[in-house]
Amino acid sequence: MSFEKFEKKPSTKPTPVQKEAPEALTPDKTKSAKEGKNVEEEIKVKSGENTAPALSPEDKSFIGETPEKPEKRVIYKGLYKIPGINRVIGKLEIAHNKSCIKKHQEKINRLKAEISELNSKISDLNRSGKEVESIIEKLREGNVPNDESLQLKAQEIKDRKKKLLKRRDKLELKVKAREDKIKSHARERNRIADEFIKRYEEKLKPIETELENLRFLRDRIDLLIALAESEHKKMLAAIDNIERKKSQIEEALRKTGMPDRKIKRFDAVKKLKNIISKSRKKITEQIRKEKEYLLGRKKRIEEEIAKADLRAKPHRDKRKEFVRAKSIRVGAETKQKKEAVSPRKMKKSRRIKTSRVEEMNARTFKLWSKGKEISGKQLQVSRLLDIWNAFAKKRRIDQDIWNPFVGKKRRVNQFAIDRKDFLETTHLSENYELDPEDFKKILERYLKLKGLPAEKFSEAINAFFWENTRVKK
Amino acid sequence: MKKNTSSLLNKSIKAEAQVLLKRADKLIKEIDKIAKDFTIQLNKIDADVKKSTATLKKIYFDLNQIEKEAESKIDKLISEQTKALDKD
Repeated sequence: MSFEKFEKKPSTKPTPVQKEAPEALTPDKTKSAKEGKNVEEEIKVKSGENTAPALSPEDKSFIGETPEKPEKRVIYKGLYKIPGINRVIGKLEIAHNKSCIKKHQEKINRLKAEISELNSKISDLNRSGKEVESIIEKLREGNVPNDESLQLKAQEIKDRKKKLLKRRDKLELKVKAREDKIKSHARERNRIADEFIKRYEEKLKPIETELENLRFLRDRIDLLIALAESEHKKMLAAIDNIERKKSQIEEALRKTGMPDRKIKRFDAVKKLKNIISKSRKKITEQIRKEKEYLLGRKKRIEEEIAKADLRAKPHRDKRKEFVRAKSIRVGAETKQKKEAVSPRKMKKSRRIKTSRVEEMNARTFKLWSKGKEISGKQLQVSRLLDIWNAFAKKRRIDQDIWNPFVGKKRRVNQFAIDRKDFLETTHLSENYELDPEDFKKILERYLKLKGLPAEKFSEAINAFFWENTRVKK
Repeated sequence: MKKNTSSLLNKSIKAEAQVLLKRADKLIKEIDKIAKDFTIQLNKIDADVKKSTATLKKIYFDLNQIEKEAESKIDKLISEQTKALDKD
């Protein structure tokens, strides 16, 4: 058996993105180079290096177009302080409004102030008009000849009022137009934000799926480590057994009167000695290599997970920023509340951690034979699964799982193990024998691989072994 | 008589040793088989890891594209707003 295959495997070390990007997607090399730069900037930001305000040529040209108008300078002012990677968000922040909407709002306020001034003037004129009208009426009632100047004054008031009303209508239209502008601006901003939130979500979903895949593969490695340890232990025990038998043969030969010198040269003893030493060497070497490879592989997967997670983070942040820019409040407080562990829960998890389960290697399985408790050092996988499933039935933790075929939820016992799946996943045969220590390790890793919550199953596993094993005598 | 017994004993020891040798040979084969099995499983995991990493790289590339598009659309929006403000 050789592990050279692994040694020759190409390294999965990360290479810059411009090299990684598929050719079909990079028609222009300059474009790719730019993207590579973006990724470098991204990494800098993530590592906290990108704190200095960097102004890219793109920014400069963008800002270079800044006209002399003071309003525009106000709009673009923020960009000077935005480091490369956050530029999009910075621009969105600008588009998000602040200055623009503020300017519109200021104008609306000015117009409204003018309208209110006009309203008060109109009401003054109304009052004056009514007074003049009442004087004219009184004069008419007293048969006093009509004063033309009063008639003229009344007409003048009417004309002025008409002018003011016209002006007020005009201003009101302006206010409405401004308000429409603000609304349309917000609508447009939200439309863009929505579009990108959707697109980020579309892309982030497969990232999370792939991250989940990598975590699953890491857990598989964990299971393989447990299985390898069990196999190694078994092999070493088998070698020890052969060695013991060899000693018995030597002793039997000695009893026949054969001298030690001859026993050593006895063909079968010689062959056995060779085989034992060869097997021991082989298994020791295998243990070393498998341990090295499995741990190396696990480390590499963990690095990949960390790297992928780190790279996904700014995109997740950007998606969040788009949502924030839309002024949609993400229930940060509620989320925090949900994530916070209640003291009661903490107490419980501490209790699980400190639950007193003795070292498994010092324990044997509790078995019953003819009503008497006996101990079993090792048990076959099929029997262990039966015992486990019987225990799981007693301590069932149900979960409702949606069944798309039936169209309703199905109640499933989380801890019950499907024998076929267990054997397929672990590559163990039904009659493979395991001791408590190995079964515990394999069971833990199998359940973890199946995505069960650690705090729930570790307590159940501890209880299982507490019930079903006893201290070796 | 004694020689006969000794020879018989030797024969039985030899037979027992043969059985043991067969078991030892089987054990060596088993060690190799287990190692081979692990290699197969590890190779499968390796291939899956590579597949996942490649998919992730492709997604990151697409995300960079989205970012560029977002930037240009926002630039356009800002520019339109600015023009609107100019008119006022």
